Amino acid sequence: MAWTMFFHPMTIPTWAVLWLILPLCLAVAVVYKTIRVGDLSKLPRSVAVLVAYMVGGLTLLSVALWLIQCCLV
Amino acid sequence: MYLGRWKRGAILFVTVGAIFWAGIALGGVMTVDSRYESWWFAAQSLTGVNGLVGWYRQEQVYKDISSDPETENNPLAHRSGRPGPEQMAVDYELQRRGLALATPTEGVARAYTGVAGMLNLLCIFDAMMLCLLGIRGEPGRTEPEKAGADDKNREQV
Repeated sequence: MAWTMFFHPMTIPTWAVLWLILPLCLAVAVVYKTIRVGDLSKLPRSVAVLVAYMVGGLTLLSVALWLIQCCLV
Repeated sequence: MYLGRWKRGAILFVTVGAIFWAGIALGGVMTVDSRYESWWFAAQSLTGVNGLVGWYRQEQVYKDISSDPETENNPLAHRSGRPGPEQMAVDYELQRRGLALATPTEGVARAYTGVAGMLNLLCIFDAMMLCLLGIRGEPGRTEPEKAGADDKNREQV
């Protein structure tokens, strides 16, 4: 069966799932900062900082959860 | 855009649209599923026209499946238990056509489209608040108007 974009689902390898969090974080940061920032010229910098915060926070959270899981098992 | 914030409106329009259609590109036509994924559908429909187009496309697939005589002949359509026989038959048909969503694609695609809807809700809420407060245009442009209003107030005092 021929695969058609926007019609058939893609096959995503399990290891690639985590990388797909980056575009989502970027989109959230762009929308949030577009609403919040006073001067649009500061938008790229604000977005980059917020993406770094989100990715850093998620990394810390995952490490903490991994440590808890290691302690429990 | 009605508020005179054209650049912001364009950025939000493109970003919300891009993240929604990226989700559809990952998950296919059944990413929007009003029948069996109603909570996700509620979030997805908040993207407005994007969600409507997604809903229309999946509805066409459902109509196509229901009019297909093979669906009636499917033994799964006459079994008992959970999920119901109708859903089992539809799932079987979607899988046969290569449209069924499976993990991890399902989670990623629905998260993209659902988050797009929630972000659009945030934009709608922000635009409504600005409208209610009577704030129009970019923040920098409104400053001279504010200064003018302050001068008038001082004169009155």
